[in-house]
Amino acid sequence: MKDADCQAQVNCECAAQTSAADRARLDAACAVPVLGFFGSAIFWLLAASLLSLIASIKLHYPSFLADASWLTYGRVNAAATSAHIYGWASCAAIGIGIWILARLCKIEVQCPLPLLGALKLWNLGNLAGIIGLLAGQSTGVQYLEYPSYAALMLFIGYGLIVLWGAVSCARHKLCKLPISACYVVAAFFAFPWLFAVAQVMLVFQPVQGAAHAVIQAWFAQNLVGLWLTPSALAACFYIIPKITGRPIYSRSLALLGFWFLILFSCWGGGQRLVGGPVPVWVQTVGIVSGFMLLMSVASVALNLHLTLTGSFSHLRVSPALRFVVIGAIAYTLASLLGCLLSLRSVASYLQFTYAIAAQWHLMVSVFVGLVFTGSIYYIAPRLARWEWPSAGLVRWHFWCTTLGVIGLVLSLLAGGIHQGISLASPDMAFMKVVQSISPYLELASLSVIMLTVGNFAFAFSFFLLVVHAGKRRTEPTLLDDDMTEESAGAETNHE
Amino acid sequence: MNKMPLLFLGLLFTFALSWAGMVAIPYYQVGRMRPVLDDTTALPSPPALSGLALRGRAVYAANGCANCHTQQVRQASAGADIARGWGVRGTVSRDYIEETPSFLGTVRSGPDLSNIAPRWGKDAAAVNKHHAHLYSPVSVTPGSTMAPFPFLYSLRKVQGQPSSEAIAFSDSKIVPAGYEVVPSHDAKALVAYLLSLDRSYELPEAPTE
Repeated sequence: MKDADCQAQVNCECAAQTSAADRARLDAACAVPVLGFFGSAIFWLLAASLLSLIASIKLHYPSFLADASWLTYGRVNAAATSAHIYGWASCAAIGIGIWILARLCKIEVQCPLPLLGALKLWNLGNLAGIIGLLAGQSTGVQYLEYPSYAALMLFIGYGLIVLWGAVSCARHKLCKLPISACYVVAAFFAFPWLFAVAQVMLVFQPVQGAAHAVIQAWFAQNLVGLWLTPSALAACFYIIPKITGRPIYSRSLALLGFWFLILFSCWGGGQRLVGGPVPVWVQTVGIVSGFMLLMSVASVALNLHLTLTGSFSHLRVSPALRFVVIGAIAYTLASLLGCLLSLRSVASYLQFTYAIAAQWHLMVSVFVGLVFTGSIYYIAPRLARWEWPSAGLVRWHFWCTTLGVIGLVLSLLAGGIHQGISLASPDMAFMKVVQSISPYLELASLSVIMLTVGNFAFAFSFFLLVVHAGKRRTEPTLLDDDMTEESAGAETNHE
Repeated sequence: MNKMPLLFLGLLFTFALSWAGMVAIPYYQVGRMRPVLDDTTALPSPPALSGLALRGRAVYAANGCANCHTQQVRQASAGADIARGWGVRGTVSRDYIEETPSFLGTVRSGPDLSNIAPRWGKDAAAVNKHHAHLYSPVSVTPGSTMAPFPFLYSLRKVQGQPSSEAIAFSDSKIVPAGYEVVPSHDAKALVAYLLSLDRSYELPEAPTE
């Protein structure tokens, strides 16, 4: 059978082929910790949505909830960003990473205790961090605002995962690592390294101002570039072939893309400081690394596109594939936009405007966020042994989220361009500029409301799935009710 | 990359190189700078922060002011910051040697604050203006979208003599009759920090011409 062949190539390029029974056994072993990470991720996604909604409204309506110190814009905005990165995206990345490693390296989670301990520490760390931040204990360092005790909990929790990963990897016998596993290993390796260097040099023993700014930019760039991006690409390279039933188009191209990402991403950061008070070479290296990264982006985009070719009909029915593919498209767009914004001529207008926030959302909320969402749609039913209970909820989630993120990115981008051009003419008073971009920020708030509605639909859907609500379905929940037998079958075969 | 050990070595090597290039070298280049001492007065540039201003820095960090305000003036060739009157010169690495952590900022929802002291002044009137603005931004700049910080102040009934620290507002409707607004220690510290934000001094590498 064709699908089985593909499975063999995709899933276990060297070792013995896994049977459906094997996969069910591997899934059952890691179900509790991975579903735990997904549930936590979705919980923090809701927290982040509500916090960013408050922050977004405050930007154009500053008297909203203005009397309470713990809800002042600077604290809420920082809490929203931290909850988004360390709560939602990181928990989802850990869950997906564990599951992909378990599947690809045939690791049967024998003792889930370190993973469950890590899960508890991450949730505690995020909770303590957000409360500390809102109580006014922020460190003031972007993306590292959590007070030290919260950061320490995250770090120890992460250590437990690394311990589990090291023990598991030491036992595994594959001679050839599939590309998704390479991405997961790189991400799991990069995070503690980045986080430790940044915590020590930026928070614990902060270095002097200008060097501080450079290291902060380097950390901010690579937190996304080397932790969230490889995790999301691992999911793309695993899930797209699974759903379409075709192997990755070219393994060599995928490896090329992988090493280009690792090599060039870690020299980034300087592009965030174009025109700033730091050595000019730092800025130039950042701009160049962004452009070199485009080679990696192009190879990933080409590879995924060729893998998808001929299977676009699955996009009509599979929610997981829809989310992952929209996310993957956003990766290319966000990278191109990032390069454009880093150019000195463009930066003289758009540096420090909402266009920078638009690029960040395109990368983190759209690419990383939607790929992780799609992955949860694919993985959770296999672990919970229950299909998504309601196609209606999935449809609500999909449209609210997609339209919400598109609206958010476009309104911030348009507002940012307007802001940048206005700020470049010194005759225009600053207050005039602020007032002229208010409509864009109102649109952004509307988009955040849509996103929040979508995220609540997602959370409710996930809750129903975990508690096994409704009737048992024999086939996956698909979006199009009159789908053909074939398209419906493709996903079940790959369970 | 086919084997796990090779993958590990590759990652280790790449990351170590990146750390050396993007962390260690910038640290040695701009992370150990000294202030410039004036030939006659021996006063340092940039000047050291007072204790109260240092406390103000912490308030600035805790309330996330850097979410909206940058503290960097780009060179005339890199943007309209100087033309806008946000500074007489672009800021350079040495301006930030007192700044740990640094608040360079990434977005200008509000104006740049590198030189808020020379722009708004440093006298008693400027102090009152800062306090009035922090308590109610729209009372000083109509249409402002800045977050108000009433929680840094106490609104209390005047008992006997009005406090000498009470904030004067141009709009009498801000404070109900018989009440006064008095800054907390944190508010005073924050204003002391804002009054220290002055990068108009001259440095060898950054003339004020």
